Amino acid sequence: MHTDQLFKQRLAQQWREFLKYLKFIFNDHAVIAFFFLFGALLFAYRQLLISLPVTWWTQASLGLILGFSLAIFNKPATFIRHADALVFLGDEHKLRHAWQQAMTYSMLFNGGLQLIMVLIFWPIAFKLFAQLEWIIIIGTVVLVLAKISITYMRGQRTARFKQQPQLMNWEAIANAEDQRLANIYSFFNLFVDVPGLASPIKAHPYLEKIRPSWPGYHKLALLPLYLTTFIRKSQYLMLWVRMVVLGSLLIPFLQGPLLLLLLALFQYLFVLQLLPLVSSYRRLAYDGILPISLSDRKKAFQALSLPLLLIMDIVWFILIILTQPLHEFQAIMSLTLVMLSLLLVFWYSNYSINSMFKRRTRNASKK
Amino acid sequence: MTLNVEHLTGGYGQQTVIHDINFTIEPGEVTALIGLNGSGKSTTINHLVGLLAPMQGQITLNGASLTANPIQYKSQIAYVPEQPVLYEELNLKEHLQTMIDVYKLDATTSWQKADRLLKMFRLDDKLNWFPTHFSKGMRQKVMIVMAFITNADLYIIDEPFLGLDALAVQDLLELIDEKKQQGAGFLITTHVMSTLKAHANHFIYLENGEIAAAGPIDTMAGRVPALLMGEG
Repeated sequence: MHTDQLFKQRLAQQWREFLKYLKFIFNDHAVIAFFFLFGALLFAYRQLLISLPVTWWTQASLGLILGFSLAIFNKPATFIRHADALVFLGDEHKLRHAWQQAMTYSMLFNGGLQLIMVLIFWPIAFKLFAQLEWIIIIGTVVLVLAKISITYMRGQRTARFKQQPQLMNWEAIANAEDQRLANIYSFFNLFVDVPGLASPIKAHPYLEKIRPSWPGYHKLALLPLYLTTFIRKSQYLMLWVRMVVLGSLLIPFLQGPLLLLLLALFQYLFVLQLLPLVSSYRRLAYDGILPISLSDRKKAFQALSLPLLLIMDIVWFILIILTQPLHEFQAIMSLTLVMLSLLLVFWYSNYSINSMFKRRTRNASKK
Repeated sequence: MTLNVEHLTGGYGQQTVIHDINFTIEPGEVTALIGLNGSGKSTTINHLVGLLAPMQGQITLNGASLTANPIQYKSQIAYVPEQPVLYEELNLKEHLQTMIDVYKLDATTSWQKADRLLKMFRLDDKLNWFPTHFSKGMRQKVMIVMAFITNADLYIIDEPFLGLDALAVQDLLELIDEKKQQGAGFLITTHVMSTLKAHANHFIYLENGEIAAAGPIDTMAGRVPALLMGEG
């Protein structure tokens, strides 16, 4: 194996895998959402650019946003796997070389992403800091160099044992790589099912206290399991948070049918991605012998999803009232979203769970 | 081949698990590291293969120090972990080819060795299988074949008899004896001494991360719990 081959192989393999998921995402319903979202964002950006006042606090806010951009996309990709530490005992030099190449690649890649992020803010920067073009250009270079340095430092910190810096901590490097990939696959998992994705499990004591007050908690056998999974599995809880936040971010900048359409899409995407929770226990052998009917599963899912969608509607409604001038269309929009929530919960999820379990039963009988 | 472990103290992060471990493995010698769960066997091994860094002490193999010259040190070792770790996207044949490439082995001789080992462990018709289709025992056998096609000076094997069928245990013991005759050294961890009684030259009994007893089998009686000796 040539010294450069390992890095090249792993890099190509990663992008093949990513492209596979990207292909699914852009072939699916999400492409419509992206199309509208992109249009809405461009429109909102134009509005912002026109109306943005040149004051000390808008200038400071831009500085803060650009500073914050250094905190994201700063992890290095190493492509190191757990088996490498064993297999490459015979020639660790090769593995170290591949790691170094991956670090260089990551510094350039993250630096490139930083440049793109800063360039997106250039129109605002040139408006807020007119006459200071050179400062903006130098600031851009500084931010890119800072991102490259942060990526390098993060990589070095993970890779070396504190007490023996000449030794590489391959376990820590492989763990960090697992985490990086898990974050990327969690994003893909918002749109397509990523097999084998292990979502982190985390207890949230404050949220868990509200479980007994959840409507139907003491009546529906599966609801405690679904609700606890929803709270503890980041994949589901963060999905809900993300949808609420994304919708809330659009509300101050958009109105009318375009806003309604986007909020409706977020609700649909949320239910679509929450549905796999119903079938996720089917892999456990005992799930099949539980005295639970399909109707019980549907009722538990409905009892879980309806309050979540209604809370989403309430948060958005309050934001609409707070940020937009009062208009009768707002009432129509809020009612439409509530109606859609009911449709998604009682009709769409019903239909999806039916077909989900029918398909699995049919496939099982073929084996 | 000589492995020297001197005053090794180590563990995970800030937590110290093993304290002041000292031992030597000479060429053609099999040393068994024994102890109950949590006694520090796997931690010791993780230090010896460089997966953990020593907090104190020295580890050298044929004069190469783990901390001063990790690449040269590690190149002399083959390791079989307790939990088999394989590349999920490579089949058995590709795993073996990777080992041949990494250890810069002669392809013809190595494949001859591999053929013999694959037959021995009844894996010869599974060259195109991917790890996902292997049972835990089969994965263990794959790791053993991968390690034994190399010409390592020191073989480190963590709990080799867990998950292996009786035939495979016998085959592995034969292989260990064979490599031992050729001058390779072995460090093997186990819960039960009885399997290794006839094959190991030295036993090291770990208790709470410290060496509680060490020596040939006939000196260990009374110093090690009877159940570990396989006499319970």
